[in-house]
Amino acid sequence: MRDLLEKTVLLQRRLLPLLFLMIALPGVQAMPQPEAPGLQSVVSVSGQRIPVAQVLRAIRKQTGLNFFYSNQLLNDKEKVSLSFRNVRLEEVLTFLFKDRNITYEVRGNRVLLNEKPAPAKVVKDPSPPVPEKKVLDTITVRGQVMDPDGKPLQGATVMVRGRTMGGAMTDEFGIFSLRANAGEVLSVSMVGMQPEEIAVPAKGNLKITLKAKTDKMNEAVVVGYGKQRKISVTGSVASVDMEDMRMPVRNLTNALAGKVAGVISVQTSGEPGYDNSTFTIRGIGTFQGNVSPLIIVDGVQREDVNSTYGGAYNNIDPEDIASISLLKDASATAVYGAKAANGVLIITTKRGVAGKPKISSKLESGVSGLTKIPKMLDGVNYMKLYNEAVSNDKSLATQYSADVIQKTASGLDPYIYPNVNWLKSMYKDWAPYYNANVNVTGGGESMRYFLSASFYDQDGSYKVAKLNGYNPNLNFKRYDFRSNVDVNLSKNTVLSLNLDAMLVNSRYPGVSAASIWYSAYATNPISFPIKYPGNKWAGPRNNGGTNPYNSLQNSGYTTEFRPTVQSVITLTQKLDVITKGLSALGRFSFDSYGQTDISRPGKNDLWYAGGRDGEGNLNFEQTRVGDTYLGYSTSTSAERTMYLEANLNYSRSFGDHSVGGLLVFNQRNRVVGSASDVVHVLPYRNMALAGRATYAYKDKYLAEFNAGYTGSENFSEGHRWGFFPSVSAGWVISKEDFFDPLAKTFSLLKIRASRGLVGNDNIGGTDRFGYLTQFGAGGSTSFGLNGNASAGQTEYIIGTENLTWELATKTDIGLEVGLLNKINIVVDVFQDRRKDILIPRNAISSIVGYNGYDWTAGITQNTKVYANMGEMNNKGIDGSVEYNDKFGKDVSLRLFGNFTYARNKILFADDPKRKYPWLLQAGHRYGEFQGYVSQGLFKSDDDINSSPGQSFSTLHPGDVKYADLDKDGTVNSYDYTYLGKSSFPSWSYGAGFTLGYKKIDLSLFFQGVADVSIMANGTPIGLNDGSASGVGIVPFAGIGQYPANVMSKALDRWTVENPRQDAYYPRMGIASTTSNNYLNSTWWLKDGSYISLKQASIGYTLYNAGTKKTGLASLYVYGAGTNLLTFSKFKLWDVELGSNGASYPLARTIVIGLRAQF
Amino acid sequence: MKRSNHICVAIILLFSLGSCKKYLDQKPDNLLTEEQLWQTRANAESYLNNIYARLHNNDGGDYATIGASDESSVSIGGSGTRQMVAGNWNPQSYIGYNWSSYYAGIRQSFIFEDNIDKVPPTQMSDSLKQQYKAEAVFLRGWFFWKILEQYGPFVKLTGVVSQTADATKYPRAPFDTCVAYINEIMDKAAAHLPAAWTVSGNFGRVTKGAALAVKAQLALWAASPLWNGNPYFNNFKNNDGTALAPASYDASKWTKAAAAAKAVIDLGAFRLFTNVDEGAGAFNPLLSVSDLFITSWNNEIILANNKYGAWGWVKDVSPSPGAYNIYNATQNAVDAFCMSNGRTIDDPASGYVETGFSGSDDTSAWGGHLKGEWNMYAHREARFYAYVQYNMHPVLPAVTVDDKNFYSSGANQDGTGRVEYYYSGKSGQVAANSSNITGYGIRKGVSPADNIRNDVVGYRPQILIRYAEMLLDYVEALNESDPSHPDIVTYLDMIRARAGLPGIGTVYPGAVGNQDQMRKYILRERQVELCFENGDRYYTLVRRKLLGNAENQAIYGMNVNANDNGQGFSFTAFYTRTLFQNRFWNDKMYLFPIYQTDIDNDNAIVQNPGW
Repeated sequence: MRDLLEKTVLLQRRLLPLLFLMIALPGVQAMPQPEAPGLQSVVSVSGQRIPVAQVLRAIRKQTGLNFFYSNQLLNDKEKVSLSFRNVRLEEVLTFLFKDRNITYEVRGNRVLLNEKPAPAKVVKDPSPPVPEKKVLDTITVRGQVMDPDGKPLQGATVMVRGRTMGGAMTDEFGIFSLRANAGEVLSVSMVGMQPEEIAVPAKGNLKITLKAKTDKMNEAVVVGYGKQRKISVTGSVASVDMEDMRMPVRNLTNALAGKVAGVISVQTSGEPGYDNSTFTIRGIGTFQGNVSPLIIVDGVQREDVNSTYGGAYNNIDPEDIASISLLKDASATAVYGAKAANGVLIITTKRGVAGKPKISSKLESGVSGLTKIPKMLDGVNYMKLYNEAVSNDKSLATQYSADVIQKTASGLDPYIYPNVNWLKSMYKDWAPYYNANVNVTGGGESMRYFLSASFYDQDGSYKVAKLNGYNPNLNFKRYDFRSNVDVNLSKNTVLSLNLDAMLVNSRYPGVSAASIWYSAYATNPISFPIKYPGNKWAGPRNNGGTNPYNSLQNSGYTTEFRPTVQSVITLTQKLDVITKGLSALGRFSFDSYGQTDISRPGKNDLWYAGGRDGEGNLNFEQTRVGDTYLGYSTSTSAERTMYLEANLNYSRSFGDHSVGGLLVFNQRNRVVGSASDVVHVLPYRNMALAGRATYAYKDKYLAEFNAGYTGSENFSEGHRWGFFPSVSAGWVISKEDFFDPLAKTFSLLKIRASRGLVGNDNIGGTDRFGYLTQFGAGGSTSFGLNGNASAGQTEYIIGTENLTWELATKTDIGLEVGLLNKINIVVDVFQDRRKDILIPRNAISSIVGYNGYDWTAGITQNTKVYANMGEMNNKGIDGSVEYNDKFGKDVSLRLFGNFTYARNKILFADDPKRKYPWLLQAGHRYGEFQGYVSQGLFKSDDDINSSPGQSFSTLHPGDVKYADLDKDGTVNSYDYTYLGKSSFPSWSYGAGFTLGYKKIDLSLFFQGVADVSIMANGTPIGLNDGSASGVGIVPFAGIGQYPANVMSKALDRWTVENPRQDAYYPRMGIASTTSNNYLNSTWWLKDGSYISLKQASIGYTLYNAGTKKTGLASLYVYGAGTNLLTFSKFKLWDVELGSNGASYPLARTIVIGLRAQF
Repeated sequence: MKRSNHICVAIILLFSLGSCKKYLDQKPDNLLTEEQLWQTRANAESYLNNIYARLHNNDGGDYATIGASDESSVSIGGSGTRQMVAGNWNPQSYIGYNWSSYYAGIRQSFIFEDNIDKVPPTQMSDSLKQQYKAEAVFLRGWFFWKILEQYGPFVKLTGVVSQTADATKYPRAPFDTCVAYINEIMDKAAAHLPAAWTVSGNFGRVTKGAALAVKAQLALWAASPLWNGNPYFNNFKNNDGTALAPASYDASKWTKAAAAAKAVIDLGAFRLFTNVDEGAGAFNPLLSVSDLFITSWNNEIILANNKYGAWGWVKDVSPSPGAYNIYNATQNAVDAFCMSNGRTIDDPASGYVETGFSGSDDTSAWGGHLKGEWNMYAHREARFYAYVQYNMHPVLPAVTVDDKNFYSSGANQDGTGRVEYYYSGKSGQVAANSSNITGYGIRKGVSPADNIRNDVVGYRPQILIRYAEMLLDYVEALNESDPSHPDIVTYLDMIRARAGLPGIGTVYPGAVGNQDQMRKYILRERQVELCFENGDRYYTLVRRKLLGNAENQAIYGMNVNANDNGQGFSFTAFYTRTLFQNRFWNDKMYLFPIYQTDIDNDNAIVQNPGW
């Protein structure tokens, strides 16, 4: 009969001159076939410019078929003209969806509309129609269909593959039953979900989990003050996959490195609580002031330049975060006007989902250790090298006798002839680590909530014990509490309240980590032992350096607590009453930060034994008298920020045209409670008006205009407001008709471009109001007999009247490619051109009298003059690629990678006019090293005499020979050039994969940087308290009796006997950082590139899709590690620390964890 | 619907919140602005105070005072002077960089002078304004003088230079112009200042006496060989060819120098301090020469930095373990001190014995060495004991027996606190990070009431110019211009007498009238009298062009590196003269280099010769 129908049905297309709705008279033309609804049903439908919805309604009435589709997929208000009489439904649908990129599928009495998959444009019935089976269905199959969270799915269709009838639909508990034969395959499908197939078991119930269908292009991405569908975004916006952020790391930004294109970050310390990265979006765009992006958490700026509380947002538990977006170009950031010059990072926390309470928990426990502990010389080699240094120097200093060396080597008297490996004695391999999070989400129609609590606990790696009634070891504990509640006040009104407390309670040894590392580098192995018998701690005489282990163990401790409380209340109002698609939002936020440090400094008795008496007893002298009780001091600081925002949002489609608009007003007010003077006690204020207009035609041609109009209190009236416009446009080529032939391969091809202005009002440092001449405390003097001080006042800043916004012109061109629906590629090239950078003038002649370098006081008291003078250019490219695939039923694979390359160049820095071009900063990179150009080592005295002079210190063969760039016969400051390498990387990349096999998943993540250098001459290693710099690197540096220790790498050196040019160290000598051999030079410029296995995890799903009876929805166990392996050419210390190796290395953490959902 | 309308209204209201203009219009209203500064006396005075703060203050480390000349060395290897004496410096080094700080003071002195009249008369009288102006003018002259001394010819400024001024139009002025300009400034200042202050509340402010004293220093500086026809500066010229140094020797400059110093003497406002001034019945040379520095505002002081935390000085010069032991006197300095009979140690008649331990305490009226100390240190003049800390001599800044014992090793804890500079001693090489490198410390400016172990140091002004220097300036200039003048002996003997020494005519009659010999004795007297003070030794050697001489570059100490193997004070090898430094010298070092950036920012400034 069907065949017959096919042959007899005529397609009749007639344009009716009248607006005549045939479907208004259903039943007349329709020939309903209720028993066998399907594509073969014959329908009649015609009309001029009638909405699609009406067409579908008519079909339903005629066939009983229900249409399911998402509004995003099909705009059913779109009007069509058509005229079909008694044709097969298939033909009507084909006509209807031909140009709409929509496929349809009939399931029972449902027609599911889906986006047309590119490779298979024409969807055919998976199996050809077969005659109705005559076999009897033997068994009744029962089952439950759930989503991945264990929530039952109502309305899912279950069909036996190959049949068109006899399907079933799940009820409100997700339960279905139908009759089928064992061995047959059931296909389960539902709108918005990925279909699943499962074999019919002989007996028993089925449990089927449907995963949400992810349509990347229609996903909403967070942009400034709102969300946009990904396809319609014309700016450069990247989102972070929150799955990748699940790593045992305290610090959010540290975890971000390599996870998303556009991030370049450098973490130079692993000390818990003080391990924030220098975090940038697309590198460094300015050489003055702030380089960090603007941080927005839940719609509110949550980070301040120069604030003591910088990086507090890093304490947000990744488990609580729903999404992280990076806004990279001017188009995306323009609405933030001011402060967005360095890009914007938007963090959005999770919100409640209606339903019964759903509990998710995570428990993680493990150990953390240090990535790398440098190797120092042992006592014997130390003395041998020292002797070698003394004789190389032709110095009169006393050498260690063979007897002393022999006695030290023998180890027989470790008290008089000690040989201590300080670093090894002070650091342990592993310290405990715990992390737990539990959150509950749920609610109903009128209210939804997300509640979360988490705990993070990390011990330091110091090998100390609770000896004196206190534990000096570092310990970092964090308690996060979050409550995000949404209440529907009316049908159109939602009130949201976020309360978030991030409470840090930590403990540190009585001396700073910098000081501990410094003294561990500085203290040589033979000066004294750790301890003498009788619990006498060893210590040098006054001003004689320190016993690093003793200062770690016996200096008391410091506790810090840092409460951060952040709150936002938001009222969202739909204003469809005024015009459709309009909504308004009001938001107020109050954040409070604080820090209280309690210091309990301690001092113990110290002893020194220089020898033994006649009876062999140690001759003790007490070198320090300790305190009986710990001292006490405390300090507190606090600040708060208030933020007020109101915005109007408009979004509506008119046929093929989609328009959007946004108008934002906000003001912000920050008060630093611990400010020390009137300039800083005044609130920091900003006010802004911003707007956005978007237009899209068929999601194919996109255009956007953004603008921010921002005021800053930092400038004088008339220069206070800055206007920051940007334009952008996009073209989705893959939606063009002519692209159809390629559509199989390219599921997406989109290009976009943007250009605009962004501003910055920060004048760098902590200075404000650069337009005002400001006086402050200056040098004091005294008059009278007793020298009582008479305070002085001096100019801090000489006001520059017309000071105004620093401007960044940003350009971005992006390409987005989707391949085979499996691979997504995004590449952006960008340029960030800064002008009018607010810099303190450098080139004002010293005779004007603004420079007040006070040598006797050792301080620079410059009177600053600010000007909009700096210029810099930063350009580069960033990109990401992601590949998702599934092999068979059991194997899934996700591969991802991204890279960022940004290279900046200072164009103008108001530098003094240098004599030679190589002395000028302009034309070089930010953070570029300066130094001399090494030409290897001097071979002989003749070589020295015939080479240009170097008067840094007395030269001997084996010393570093430098290039005389200006050919004036001596190497001096005129030969000090830029070396082309920076301490900040220009390449950053990350790559990883997640492999799933049945219940097991494995993921690895690598991150690296390239084109970065380390100046390994020890210069930055110093405490700035008068102690010698360069300890540990510069041989025998020091200001006192015990010359500092050197890394064991010093054995790889030039010697008289073996004058190698390729040695790591030049000849040994008693040196300092100002000695010839340890000046900044290419000799010490080392490649700081690395690739690190940042993250690895393996997990196993123990249990899933549980029934309601047990209450457990899923259980997942995993093991994970961070910083597991690092590959780098630089081996002396953890390469990520950069040039200062005497700092707390990054943590290597290994954990096992459990995730459960109820 | 009704409710949502209300909410709409509320949101719209948010938009119209407040006036944008006012929100951002926040100037720090009580922030001191240029206008406000000159509205009150207190603020105006504080601006002057800030200029005063730039008066030379060497507490804690001054290149010139410590370690750059032959009288002392610094135990810290990386310190500025150690770099200097190793030749390890260049225009890019920040060593002793004072140029920009002085110019900042100069600008501020102009600002003050230009604006002080704005202070309302109700707040400040005209006479006080005139006095303050004179003080600011003096300070400006002082800064110019200090630049001239350290760097040579300066860029002469006669008013505030605008930040937009074309700096290339400001070259250095010739030396003689500089000298004339400073003299002009000092005359201008002196006109409105008293010879000395009578009200103690003004102590610390500059005086006419100070102005004249600076002129005397300047005149001597101009007469001395460095700038008086020094051939080394023949090609020292500005870019336009202007010669910066006087081309030929001018003997009359010595006459002017003598007259300038005499002017201070003739002022009658100052005299040499003795312990009798403090009310003591009997003159005691040891107390006179040491209390001079710890007695606030005695009549010998012409100019002092009144805000002087002496702690840094005492901490740096005193022995360990209580102090840092950083500034070490040299054997060269020690050898300059006379015997108590007024003879130099190289004089066979002096009775100087180089070796052996002394058998008894010094029995002279004022004391001196103690029994058991090395003979080298026996029967020396009072200033030796007042200014030099040597091995085995009791530590000065320690008050109680316990404080003193703190400085002694076990066996030596007899309550006297004898300093242990020997190898294994508490200030010796074995002492951690606090080892003395010459075997000597410094006692000048240290008070027995100080307790450096507990960091207790009393107040005293830091003397920048004192009367004794004027006498020495006078006799030195007079000896060059009029060697037979009787004032030479008269004034030189005043210094000697205060130190408890017989007159020069008594001890060395042959030197009287003999210009060359007398010059030697005058410079030696100066070396001893002004040792360790404000770099006088350094600048004397510089202006006399002696610093580069081999005998001033070979620096000796005791043999601190010889291991006493526990012998302690009885270890005689310690007392061996040991060459520990052969310093680097280049004639360019007579002037500091001008910092490279200062040249690059002002292309009219030429670098000093040789740098």
